[in-house]
Amino acid sequence: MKPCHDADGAVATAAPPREAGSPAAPPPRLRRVLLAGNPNVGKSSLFNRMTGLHQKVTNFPGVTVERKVGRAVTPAGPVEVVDLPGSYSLAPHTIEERVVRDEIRGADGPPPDLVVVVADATNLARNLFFALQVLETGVPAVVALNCADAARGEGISVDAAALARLLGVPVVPTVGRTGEGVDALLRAVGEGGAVGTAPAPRWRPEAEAAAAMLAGPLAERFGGREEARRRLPEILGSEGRFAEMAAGLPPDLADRARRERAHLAARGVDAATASAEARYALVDSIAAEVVHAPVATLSWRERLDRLFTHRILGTLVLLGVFALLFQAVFAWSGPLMDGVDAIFGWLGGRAAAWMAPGLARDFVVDGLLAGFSGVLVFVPQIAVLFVLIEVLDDSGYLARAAFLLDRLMGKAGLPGRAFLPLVSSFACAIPGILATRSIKDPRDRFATICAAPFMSCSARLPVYAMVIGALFSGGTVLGFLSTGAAVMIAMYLVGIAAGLATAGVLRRTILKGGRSPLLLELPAYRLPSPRSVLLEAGRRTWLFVSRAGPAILAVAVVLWCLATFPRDVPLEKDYGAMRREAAASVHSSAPAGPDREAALKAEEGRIARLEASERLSKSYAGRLGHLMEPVIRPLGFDWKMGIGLVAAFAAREVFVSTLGVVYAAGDDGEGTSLREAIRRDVDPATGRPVFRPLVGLSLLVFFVLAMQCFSTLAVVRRETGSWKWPLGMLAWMTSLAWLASFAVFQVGSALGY
Amino acid sequence: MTLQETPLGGASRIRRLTGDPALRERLVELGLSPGSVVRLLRRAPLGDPLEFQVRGYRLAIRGDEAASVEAEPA
Repeated sequence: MKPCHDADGAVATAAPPREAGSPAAPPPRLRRVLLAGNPNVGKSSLFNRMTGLHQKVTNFPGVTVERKVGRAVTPAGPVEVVDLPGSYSLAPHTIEERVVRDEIRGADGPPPDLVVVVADATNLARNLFFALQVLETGVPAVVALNCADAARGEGISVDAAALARLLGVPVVPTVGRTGEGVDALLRAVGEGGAVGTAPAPRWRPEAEAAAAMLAGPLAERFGGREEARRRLPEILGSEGRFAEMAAGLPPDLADRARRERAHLAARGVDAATASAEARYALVDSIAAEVVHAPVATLSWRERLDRLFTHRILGTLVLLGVFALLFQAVFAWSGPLMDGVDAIFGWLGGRAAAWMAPGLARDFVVDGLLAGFSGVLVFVPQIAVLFVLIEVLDDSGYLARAAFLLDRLMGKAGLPGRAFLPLVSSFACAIPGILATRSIKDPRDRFATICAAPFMSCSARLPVYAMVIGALFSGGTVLGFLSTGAAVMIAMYLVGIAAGLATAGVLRRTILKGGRSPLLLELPAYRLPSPRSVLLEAGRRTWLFVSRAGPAILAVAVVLWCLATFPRDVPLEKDYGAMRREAAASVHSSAPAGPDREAALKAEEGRIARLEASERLSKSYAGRLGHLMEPVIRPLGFDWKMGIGLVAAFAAREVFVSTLGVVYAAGDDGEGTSLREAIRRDVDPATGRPVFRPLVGLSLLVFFVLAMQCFSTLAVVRRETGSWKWPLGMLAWMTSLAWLASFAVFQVGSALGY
Repeated sequence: MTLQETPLGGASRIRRLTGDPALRERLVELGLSPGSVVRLLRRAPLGDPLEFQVRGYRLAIRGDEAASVEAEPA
């Protein structure tokens, strides 16, 4: 990447600046400035530069399209800046593009005061196409000629003054990544921009003739020839948009338009593309005047492309990137997660010391604080994941990965783009599901959402580790792989296979329909801007906390209640008497001193665990476990595991700590005593161990496949807009898990394992 | 011939688009307008999609879409 040259702060102005609002009558609201442009032009980093930290993110009404709003200060006063989704055309093909069109036209409210069209200087032609569309709407505009540094680096020069003259609006060279030119842009925004004066695109004569036929009646309908002309592309454009437009026209005018379209088609003019072709003709003539590009050479960009898309090396790089993501999520985040754990451990200790023993203290320590820590312990991992995803996205690598994987993902009916949400789901399904927003086709997106929870998330890992540690340690497979590692890998593969199969089945049934076409831009490689990466990763992490947090916390509190109440149950043993006997026996056998204190403490801990275990088995959660036993018996599970399964609904890893309470195992930090307890547990009816390897395998398969995460369901509900999807997901995943575990256990038992 | 049959590295001039109207419109908006010249840079390792140089940038489309664009050597 070439360094930036001098900050070219000069604004090439075409028209005298408009008055920025009369000082006598201050405007009642902030002037609204829209930031629009093609995808991958650095619009968001420019937005971050303009608004700093003064921004907030909501959704556009009625759709899950993010609306980023910020406040920027121009020399003429503050303005409100809205960062619109990246868009290739104002003739919308996606929900995002529809939002962009409606915002720029002011379809649902007052029109914007100004549109800043962000155009990539290295790729001006396609960017000008969109810029011209915006200018044709007649809205005051400013063009930000972004990536000015990259253009200079590639030897491309764009004559900003000439462009401003041809378009009739101010043109400001900017570099969003470094902030170069942003002051000049804010100045131009403060001055209010200008209405474009570029000539209207000249259509082919046949289309012009049709336009002339319709111009009169349309002018009547839309109040003026100019406005009528602006609507013409929709009338002569693609069928879908014409149908939408025709619905709002008087019947006779719609019929006339239909006749003109048929007429054009008969003469070999493509009504669908006539308008776009005409605009490109204009774009090409403008670009020819203002862009001076050298003859392309084999640049470092092409070399990188050759590496990343190479049959073997590219695949290796991709695997390396996956390995990096996994390493970051599971290893590098470790210390941070331990830190969160330590903070909550400390808080719990403080609360326990400050509050009187009793129900309220138990609620705060084991219910509330445990619930908060259940949310926050995942935050470091997810933040690290989001930072890496942003870096990969901003650098341009993600598009290459999608290019590599498109064919492979296509076998599951998914687009190449779906791989990232799925990879993210190995950390947690929720960020994965949020990341599906980058998939435009709703069928592709919903299929990906349904595949995501099958990926083995990090909350499943403690369960895998506990079961594998207890039952599959020792021995090797294929001579080199330890049995434990082999089982672990198998569980990941089972999840991936089930997820992709689910997506494939959905795309062939409920979400039937051909694959939407792939139109994937492979943007130039860029050094990501640390500022943008951190802002965006922070924003997404907060989205995780705010979306998943309340659900996790609420479920944790409910489950605490289920595991705690009722309190006044008759207990089988008199724990008070046991404590007294134990104390007496310690006093008689050990001399006074630290040894006696330690022995007393150990006895007290042992009896407290026994009491907690019995209380849990008699609580509502315990009763649920007993109630479930007939249903889970065919899978090899007993009521103890049933309690664990109920508790796992708060977060899967709670299964481990719950079994710890059930088995009255001490918490030695390593889980060894739980593993020991599990191995020792014998079924009184058969005399065989409760946790045989076969039962462990059945349990693992159940955890891979079952939907046991209320927060995921809550997020799916929000992202799909209905309960239909999360409930269907719950039913499908739970049935699949039950059937698979049933098959594993029954077949295994029949074979004598 | 169609864009799908373009030789690797070869430049082609687009003649006509034959896909469904929404796809035709989008392809033209992305720069694949009749008369413009595109170059096939590479195919993905599994043969699909195809990466083209279009009006100074790179666009990947699948073979199915490329087959709907008629072109001639330029």
